[in-house]
Amino acid sequence: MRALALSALALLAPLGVAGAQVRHPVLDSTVRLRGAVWTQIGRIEHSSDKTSNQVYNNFEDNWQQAAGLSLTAAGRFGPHWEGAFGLGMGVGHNARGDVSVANNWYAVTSSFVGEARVTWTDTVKDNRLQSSLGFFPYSYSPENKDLGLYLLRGSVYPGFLLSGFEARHATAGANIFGGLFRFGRGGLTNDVLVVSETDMRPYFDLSFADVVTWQARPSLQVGAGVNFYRALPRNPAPGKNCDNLYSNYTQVPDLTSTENCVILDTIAVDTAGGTAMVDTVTGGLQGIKAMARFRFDPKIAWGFTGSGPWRFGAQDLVLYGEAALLGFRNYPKYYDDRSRRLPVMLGVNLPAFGWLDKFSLEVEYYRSPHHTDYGKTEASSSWLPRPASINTARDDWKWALYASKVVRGNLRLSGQVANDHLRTFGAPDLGSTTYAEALTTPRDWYWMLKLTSFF
Amino acid sequence: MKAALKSRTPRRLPPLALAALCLVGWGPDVAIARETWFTGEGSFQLGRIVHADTSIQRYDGNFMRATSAQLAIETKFSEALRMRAGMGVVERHFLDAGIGVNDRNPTIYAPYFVEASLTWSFLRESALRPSLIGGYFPYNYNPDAKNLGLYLLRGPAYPGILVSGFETRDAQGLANTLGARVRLTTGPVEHDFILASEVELYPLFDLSPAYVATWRHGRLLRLGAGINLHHYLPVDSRITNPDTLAYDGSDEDPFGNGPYSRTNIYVDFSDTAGGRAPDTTFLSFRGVKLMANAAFDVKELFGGLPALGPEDLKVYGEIALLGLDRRKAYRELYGDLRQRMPVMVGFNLPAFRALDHLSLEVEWYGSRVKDDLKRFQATTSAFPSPIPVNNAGAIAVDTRRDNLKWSLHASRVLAGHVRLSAQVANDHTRPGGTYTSPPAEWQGLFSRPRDWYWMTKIAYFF
Repeated sequence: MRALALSALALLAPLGVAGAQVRHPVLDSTVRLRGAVWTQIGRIEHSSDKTSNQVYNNFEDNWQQAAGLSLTAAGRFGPHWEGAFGLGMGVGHNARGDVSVANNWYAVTSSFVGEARVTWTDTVKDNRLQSSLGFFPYSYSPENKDLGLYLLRGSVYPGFLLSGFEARHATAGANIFGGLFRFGRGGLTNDVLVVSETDMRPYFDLSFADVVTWQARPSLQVGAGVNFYRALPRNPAPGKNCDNLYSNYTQVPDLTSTENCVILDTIAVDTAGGTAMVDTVTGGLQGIKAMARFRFDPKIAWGFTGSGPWRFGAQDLVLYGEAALLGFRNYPKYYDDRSRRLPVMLGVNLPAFGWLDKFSLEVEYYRSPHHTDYGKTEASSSWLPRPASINTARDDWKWALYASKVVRGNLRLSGQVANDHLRTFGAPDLGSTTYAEALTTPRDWYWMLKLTSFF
Repeated sequence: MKAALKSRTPRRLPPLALAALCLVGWGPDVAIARETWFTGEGSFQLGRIVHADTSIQRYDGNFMRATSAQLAIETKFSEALRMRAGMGVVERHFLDAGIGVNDRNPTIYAPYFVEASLTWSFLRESALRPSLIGGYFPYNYNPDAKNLGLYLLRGPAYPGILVSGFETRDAQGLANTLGARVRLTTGPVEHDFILASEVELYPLFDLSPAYVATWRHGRLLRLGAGINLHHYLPVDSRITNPDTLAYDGSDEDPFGNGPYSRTNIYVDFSDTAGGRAPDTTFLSFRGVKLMANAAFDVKELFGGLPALGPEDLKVYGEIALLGLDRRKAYRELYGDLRQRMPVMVGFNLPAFRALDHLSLEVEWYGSRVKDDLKRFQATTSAFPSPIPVNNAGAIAVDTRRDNLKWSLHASRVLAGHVRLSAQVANDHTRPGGTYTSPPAEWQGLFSRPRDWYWMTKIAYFF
């Protein structure tokens, strides 16, 4: 507790002083300040689904703009302790949607917590120890630019995926609210995570995850993990006590409220009597995710360097990939095939020869039979998918081409073209909020450009 | 307001700090800033509407209170490159209006940008001394204006509704322009090329290219002029320059709807004899604004007067033309060019160093349009429109009685870090709704000569 109190004091100290690095007069701590400002613009060039999310939510040709800033203070006090907090704000807008509803298009200014953590680190003999508590950034695969990272984002049932241009899980922005306990020895690192859900309803359920990373060779890193998703829920699933009445999900007219917390599985039909025997299958949002990944650098393995102006950059040619199983347990009707809960992604850093810092192509295959929509989860805490009103076989492939370059040390340019899991969330206040993806066929894609200045 | 505090930092971020860069990511070779400054401000303000237009609500006697805090960091990466990032939070409230709702009037907390920008001074050895600023930054071509004026870059072109109030962000150095500005200097003339993205009034995110030239002769004289191609680069032309009837159905019966109930069209019935169909004109949010401004400091003719402060006796002013389209539809809705031409004259009264300035500003604007921005707000019930708000019936305002606006603003900095300011005015302040009807009221509070309010503010800054 004393350490926590000291860290808080140390972090508050510099606000009355000044400078990018200041020393606290009492606690002998050093505090560093960081900041970033950015502006971004992009456009959804093609969005095939123009009807299943109501005609209002036609996102084709929708421009997307945003600007923001963040300020962070990180203080080191003593040999083992560090703390950080950050805050920021952004200006953006709700989705414009179809031009026929553009009258409700408005700008939104919002504030956010960029980071709030206390970190303890130590080395005992050859063992590296670290613990972080609070709201902090974590990625078990920093190589991923857009797709992947299945273990710690997205759901188990229904198994929807999350991605997008510089989404916070793929950047160094805080994404874990909870705790990290790390043990490392040699090339082996083991991370135990306690994660409080803050992205999707129901909030504040606790998930417990373990991620192992092994640097087998200088050129090869492999990893695996397991996530007991929502293992400790704030409110347990209703099970047999489900009355289906707490649903207020009225987004689309074709959605019945008969299946929100139980599956109604028809196991026999008496055609003569006109009756059906229906099995009630209980379940919930809880489930187990498993993940395996790799990162391979052929430059190191085989000594590729290039020559002259064609000398490879540090990230060039790196191959990386990830596969996950979203839920071990099968349920009839909706979740009866594990192979359809198995997203796989592969990425390669294309040769940029120093012209770009990152130039990556990522491809994903996920043969989920469900509509890419978690509105039912948001509205009703339902673990069941929204009835598919699109051809879900046409959205199995996703891809992203990403590039970034830091110029003059403090200016960063980045951009992406992709057909990924972008969600725009529709136009609020029109009763047309949607949690469905904007890109649902191979023809769909968007682009985005971003300019960031940081120190 | 820049603080004297300044420090040097190492040239490399430590690994943990690098990993924690907010929303920036993977920069592999990040050189840290060489110099960094803080600026900050905390303020409290209190005022009262002494007399106001009662046609919308009973705002007479309403107190207005707000408090705010802001913090910004400015970092100089090199002689050519600097960044500024800052944010603030303001705590305020809806106006009470009638006494019946004031006991349920909650506090509102709203974040705001101080600035989020990057400035690059390139080709610094050249005669043009070019610089580029991008992001969300403050821009003010007429720094003498305390309240009124600044017509070129704030407010719409059609209809030409003006924006002003007590220490608005345009006059306070807070971010007001999202986009970019290139500045070139040729001798005593500054040339500003601005590309601004609309973030306040519908239609959003359209780009408006603008040009402002400013000529200075020392402190004696400043002359400026500019042009703003307002909304000339729309993100969706179907919204900014519609060529179909409105989606809300308001244009579908031109015979049955009055001119102010329509959205995208003006219908001319003047030549329908013999059953001829009326002439229909599609209207646009797009328009050209022109502006000229000047400032003259008579003291400089005498080499300055020691008894007077540096701002005393300065005369300044601005004139603008909001929209050049003279087709009949535009003339009928917005009046002729004289009625689209606001003029502002300001004079810094002699304060003999007791105040930093004491500025009286007077504005004349013979607009026939009701001073109401309601049709520029996002709404679920109707489409925003460049057609003015209907000014008839019980809520009608005599638009001839609100032609004259005035403002008296005073300010004084004490001990280098405390600023006292006050204003009495009849300007374009808008109530912004009440607790029971938050977004409903964008009409100007003051529509008659006897309407006015006062406001005071104390701020600590470094």
